[in-house]
Amino acid sequence: MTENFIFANIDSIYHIQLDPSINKIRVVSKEIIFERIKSKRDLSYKDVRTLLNEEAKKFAEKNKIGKYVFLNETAEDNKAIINSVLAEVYQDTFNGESKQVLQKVVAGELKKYEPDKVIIHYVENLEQLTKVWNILLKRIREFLYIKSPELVLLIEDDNRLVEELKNKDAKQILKENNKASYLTVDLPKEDEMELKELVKLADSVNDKIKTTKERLIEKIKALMPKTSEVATPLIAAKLLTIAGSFEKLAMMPSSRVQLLGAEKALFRYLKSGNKMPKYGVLFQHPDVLNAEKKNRGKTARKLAAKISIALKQDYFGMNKNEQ
Amino acid sequence: MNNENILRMGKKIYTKNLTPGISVYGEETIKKEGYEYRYWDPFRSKLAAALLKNMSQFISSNSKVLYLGAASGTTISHVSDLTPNGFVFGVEFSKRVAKQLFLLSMKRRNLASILADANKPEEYIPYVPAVDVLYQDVAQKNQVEIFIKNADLFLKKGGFGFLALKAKSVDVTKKPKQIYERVYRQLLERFDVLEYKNITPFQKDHMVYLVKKE
Repeated sequence: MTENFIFANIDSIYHIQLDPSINKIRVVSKEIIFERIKSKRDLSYKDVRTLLNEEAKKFAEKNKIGKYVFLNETAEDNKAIINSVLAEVYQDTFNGESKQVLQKVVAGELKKYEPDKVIIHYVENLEQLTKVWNILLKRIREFLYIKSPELVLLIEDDNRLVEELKNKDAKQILKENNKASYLTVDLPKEDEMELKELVKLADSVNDKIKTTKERLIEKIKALMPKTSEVATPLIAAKLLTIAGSFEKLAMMPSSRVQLLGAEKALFRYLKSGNKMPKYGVLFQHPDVLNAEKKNRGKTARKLAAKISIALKQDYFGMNKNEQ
Repeated sequence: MNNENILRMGKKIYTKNLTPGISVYGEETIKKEGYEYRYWDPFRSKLAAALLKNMSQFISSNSKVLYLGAASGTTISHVSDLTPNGFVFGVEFSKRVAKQLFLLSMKRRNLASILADANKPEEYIPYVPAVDVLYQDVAQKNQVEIFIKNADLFLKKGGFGFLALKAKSVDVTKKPKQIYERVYRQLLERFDVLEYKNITPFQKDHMVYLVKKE
């Protein structure tokens, strides 16, 4: 009892006869379709597969073979045997031209724009920029101690300090706030310049943080509209960053979403059995923050459940629209 | 087997550059008898470390090689040097490093890059023929299963398989020695295990196995 199969390769289509009892494979006929595939530009894996399937269907009809297996229609149980058949068939097929086709397919795949991966970069940019801002502000405050300790102590808010120093002199600011300036001095010109330039730099970093944040929020709202509504855009983006990709995040159970960002505490708990973490990045969500302390764990769990549903709506809804 | 594209000088090992004038990752090059050789750093490449530990050579100049876990192409560039008349297929899953690998494969005529998961060989069956050498360095929990799966599909009878085992990624809690032994027995069921070498001091907790498909 032999079985007939059609297999599509990247450059040819084969009619294969398989004898399961003795596990023997025979190639009955072969049709080269390389030229037809080569003429199409920038093919993705998916495109290649659809194309091959079309070609294989035509070939099957021509050769009157009713039963055939296509590349993406292989059932799980006969996967192993089909794989070994395929490997057997393809063992001598590679040549210089196939490298071209392969490289084209890979390049197409590598060039693809992935919105979730880009968002992850935005989140990391934001984190690093915030660090830069903190370092700069620490430097500015230390430097300002030489010039005007009163001013350092007067303005505690970093944003305001930079805003004031941008256009005004230290003495002027103190005067406006009715503060005495016992220790405020005029520094040599180059030192004043140094301070001014640091402030300018900090100001532009602040602007960059703002634009990055705006773009990030815009992007995450476009990618996961429902999740950003439930979880707030920034937390949605942070969850995505920890998960690594939209697909991974969407497939997670809500209990994992609840603890994303608490990996260290979770593994400490698993090792020692002491205190179980209740939330990871969800802690920053207003609902959790505003909950009573004893209800925070509960709130985080409920929130994670809702986020998990929203994620699934966003992920699978998105795919539906694409098709 | 002796590959004429390897140059060994004392404790240093070099490969004949397939693309003279181009160094892949900033490694030093030397000139000898009119050919350019690239230094092969055993601290960066487990194959170089294995060869320095006196593993016998198993790649000939016309071997077809399937390389799993090619990453950005440090070791695979040397494998490509070793097989000027053969062909090397590099499989890598991470897009970030696959981009580097792709660009490398555009410069080398005997190298092709494949963007796929080594755990799912069915994805690249259409692109890979039967090979003489299977090289695997993926540092995954199920890396032995991945190795066997790929050897079943792609390795010719009598072909060589090279497995770089990272004990810490198989199981952190067990002692490396236990894992080495377990893997040895696992391999013995399927293959002829020719050699195995511990590659300290070049890599910590790594064992490399050279097997032959019967």
